[in-house]
Amino acid sequence: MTKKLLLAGALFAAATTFVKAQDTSKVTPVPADPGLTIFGSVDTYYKMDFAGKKNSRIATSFANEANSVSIGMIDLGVKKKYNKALFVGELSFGPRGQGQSIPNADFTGGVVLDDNGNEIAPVLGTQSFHVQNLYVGYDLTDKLNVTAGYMSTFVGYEVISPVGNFNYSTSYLFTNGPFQNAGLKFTYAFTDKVSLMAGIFNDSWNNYTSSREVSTFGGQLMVSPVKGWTAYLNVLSGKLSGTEFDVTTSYQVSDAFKLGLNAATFSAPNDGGGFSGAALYPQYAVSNAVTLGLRAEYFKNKGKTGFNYSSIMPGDDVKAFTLTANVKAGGLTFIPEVRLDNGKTGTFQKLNGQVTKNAGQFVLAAVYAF
Amino acid sequence: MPVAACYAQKDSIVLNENNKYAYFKVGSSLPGINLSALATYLKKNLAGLQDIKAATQEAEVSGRGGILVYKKGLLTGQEEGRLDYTIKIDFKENKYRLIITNFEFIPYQRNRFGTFTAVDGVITPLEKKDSRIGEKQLSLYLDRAGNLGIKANELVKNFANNKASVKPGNAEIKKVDTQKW
Repeated sequence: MTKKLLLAGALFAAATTFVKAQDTSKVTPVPADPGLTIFGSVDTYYKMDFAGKKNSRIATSFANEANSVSIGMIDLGVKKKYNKALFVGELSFGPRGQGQSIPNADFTGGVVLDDNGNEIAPVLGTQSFHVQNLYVGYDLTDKLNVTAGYMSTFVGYEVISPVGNFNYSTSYLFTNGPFQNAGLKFTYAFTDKVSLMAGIFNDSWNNYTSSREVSTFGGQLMVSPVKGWTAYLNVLSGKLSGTEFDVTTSYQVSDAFKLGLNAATFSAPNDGGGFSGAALYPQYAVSNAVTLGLRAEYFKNKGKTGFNYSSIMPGDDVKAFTLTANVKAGGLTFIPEVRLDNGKTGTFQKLNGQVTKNAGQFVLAAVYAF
Repeated sequence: MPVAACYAQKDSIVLNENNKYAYFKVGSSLPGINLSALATYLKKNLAGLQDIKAATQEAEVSGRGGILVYKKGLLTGQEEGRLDYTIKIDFKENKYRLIITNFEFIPYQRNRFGTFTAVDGVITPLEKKDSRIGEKQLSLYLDRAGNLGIKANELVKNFANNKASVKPGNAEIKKVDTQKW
């Protein structure tokens, strides 16, 4: 028995030594990429309108329900890149990703009117899901990539997903610009500091299908002149959808301080007016968990007659200041936010229905990202 | 092979005289190695190597690269960031010296297109005690760095000891001592 034990011990020691010796010269294989990726987010919020109005008078996208604990959306995405081929599929469920985003397959038509007969929101049915991204891509060479499908727009600073924005409420420029474009685009990376994208997209924004044809041209020049600074010069132009020029840039000035800028001008087709504006996004990290940021935006409806943009009438403009904190706790981000908008004329309303130049709101949102 | 898993690749990473994490290895080499061919060979076979060149005068090959680091579950994974590095291989007296160092972590975030890209301007050297990189993450990244180093050494060792890697003009000329007979 003792001999057997000694033999077993010797064999184990030999095996262990062998494995250890092997380990010093062999690599445990690690795949170069993570394979299938699942990502997404969930968000909810409480909003208080300073005028006590139930229906929001600041008519930018999302966080629309005042004096209520409301939900944003659950966003679920999958992505996989195998060698040179990539696919991304991302669906969202909930008001932010459904009725409040534009292509809502179950949209029943019509609008909700406030006490004074102003349009404030689309009539929502039971709502369907909403596709955020659904596309495939392929690296034709090390520098040239082609992508086709329905994609988040390349224009602008802010996005639909609350994970991609610092502020929870959104800007006028975002609300009135494109959300998504379906089409085919080629991106050529000259270096890691300069790339050029050119693509052809459906004739109307934010639709899975074209109205008539694929005729909107889109282009983007990306430059990164110094480490931490990236700028995108964008154009999206079509006979049916109009023309938007956009500059989006951000610069991580120091470990703690980041400055972003978005400026755009839009001309609606057939001399139908348009808008222009600019927003500045300074952000300062107080600690690793807490960052404070301001969005200061100026937005003008360029038209003399015609469309309102987020309730801003032709010829009017608005200045909007949003002070936001991002407080991170694991995968969760708490976003307290105070927003004050000041219109040139009586864009907003008091509780008694009288017009006023000012509107304000407080939002506390919670966003979980995974 | 449960024992094998106990030996982390990060053990191959050491702190050098400048207090920087480094993979350091010295090995034997044939004389007259074709350095340009070694640079090409490494670019083709070493993960994430983006820029590598040979300097024949200095008898060295140097470059930089980056490997993806990610969380991995049973079926799925997600990018956390990129680990950039510099690589240098010197040759002298039938030896080579491989140094991989300057490991820097660049965090990734999800962008609007549902893919993951670098956060602009946020770069953390692995040696920096920063709460952006926790102990568990640091251990994982050092493991990946060690893995990279072992793989690079395997490639350099194989190349430097293969007769086909020697430049034809620099092949050692066989001499015969005619006094010994």
